[in-house]
Amino acid sequence: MALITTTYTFGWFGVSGEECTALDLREMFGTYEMIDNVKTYTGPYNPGTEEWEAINSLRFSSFSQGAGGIWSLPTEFEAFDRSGVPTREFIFFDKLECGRMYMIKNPKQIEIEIPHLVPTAIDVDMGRVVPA
Amino acid sequence: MAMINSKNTFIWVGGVGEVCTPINLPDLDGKLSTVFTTGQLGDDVPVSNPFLATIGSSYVDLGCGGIKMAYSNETSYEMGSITEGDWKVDNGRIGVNYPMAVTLSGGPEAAGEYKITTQFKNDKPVYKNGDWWLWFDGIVWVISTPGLDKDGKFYVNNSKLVNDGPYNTVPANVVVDENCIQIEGFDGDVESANGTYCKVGIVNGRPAFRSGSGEWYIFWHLAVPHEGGETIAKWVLTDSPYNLNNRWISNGTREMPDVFENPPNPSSSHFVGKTGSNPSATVPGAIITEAEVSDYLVVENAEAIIKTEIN
Repeated sequence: MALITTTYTFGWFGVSGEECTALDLREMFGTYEMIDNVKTYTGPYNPGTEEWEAINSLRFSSFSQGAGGIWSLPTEFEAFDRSGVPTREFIFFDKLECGRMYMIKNPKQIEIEIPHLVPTAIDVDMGRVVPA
Repeated sequence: MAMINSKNTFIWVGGVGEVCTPINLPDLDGKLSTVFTTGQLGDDVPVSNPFLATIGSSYVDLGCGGIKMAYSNETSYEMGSITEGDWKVDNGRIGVNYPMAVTLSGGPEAAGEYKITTQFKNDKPVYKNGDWWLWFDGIVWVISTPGLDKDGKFYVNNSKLVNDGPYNTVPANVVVDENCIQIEGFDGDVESANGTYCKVGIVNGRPAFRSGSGEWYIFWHLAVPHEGGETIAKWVLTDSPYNLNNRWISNGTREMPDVFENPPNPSSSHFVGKTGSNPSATVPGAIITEAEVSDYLVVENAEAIIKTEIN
């Protein structure tokens, strides 16, 4: 578990010796549902608050075979087709999964806890990869 | 050695089961175009590339034990000891070099659980517990409030290891949950393996310890080779976490490491004829596993039974 306190984090999800379970980003930060033809935020934060603005600015990025993908609340907002039907075609990932690397951008520097995350930085030796 | 297989990717410097050496960026000229990492304050993403590294305008090495974001001109080239990421693939876990949390107790203030943050200072992690910070000042670990500095209230632990306490608060010290052991007795080329080791995490189901110098590790290895091709799970002291690919010596199979000695225990050539031990675990009866106690009781009962039978 790491306390996100910075604007940028490069982190590995999964610590040796801990039971690792995927983190559902929609469960933790929320998503959007079409209610009465209006995309409506559903989740643990209150839209319009400073805290929600900070959560709305969070970006989680990763790569697979050269292709980059981002998860954020704005990508959840866009996850509907033109007729308002939910589509996850362009949502590359919505969970932080064990044994993967992610970049987290936290422009408003809200303090949040992410389980199983090993943070890294330049000139810091945080450890070695071991088999799961 | 591992290949970079994607033009855009995350890498962890340090491959599974390999000796990690920093990657020299100028050696990747014509292959790697740009690399990013995170600054220790977490407020920037320092960039480098083989050209900038060559002219000394940016960092030259990709150090072990961290993530870099790499953009390449080509794919399928050898980069060094790395693990390439892929969000569709589970590539393993990190055997960490620092505890993910540190608990302090007692004392007049500053007690509680300090969680690792995404911030770093003096090449080590920063921990936080409410308004208190736990950080390394380049010589010792410090707890401070309200800032990550010594401008307000602060106390130190007089050690390079975060969980090697106590922190000298006034009037009573704050105690840290130590989980530290001493190794002594090595001499010659491996004398640096002596000293204090503190628990940093769990590897292969048992505690992993790191020395104050950061050079040496003690961990539970699942397959130490013995004569006849047999392998046994044993404690290992090594300078290459978490494998047997550089300097290493093995120990017994007890609950905690006790005597590292070759012979009889296998080691690399560097440790042949060397002995080092953990005095707290070598006191007779100091640490006996449940299985050993059971064996002993069985023998005791057997002797009693035999004596009864004879009489």
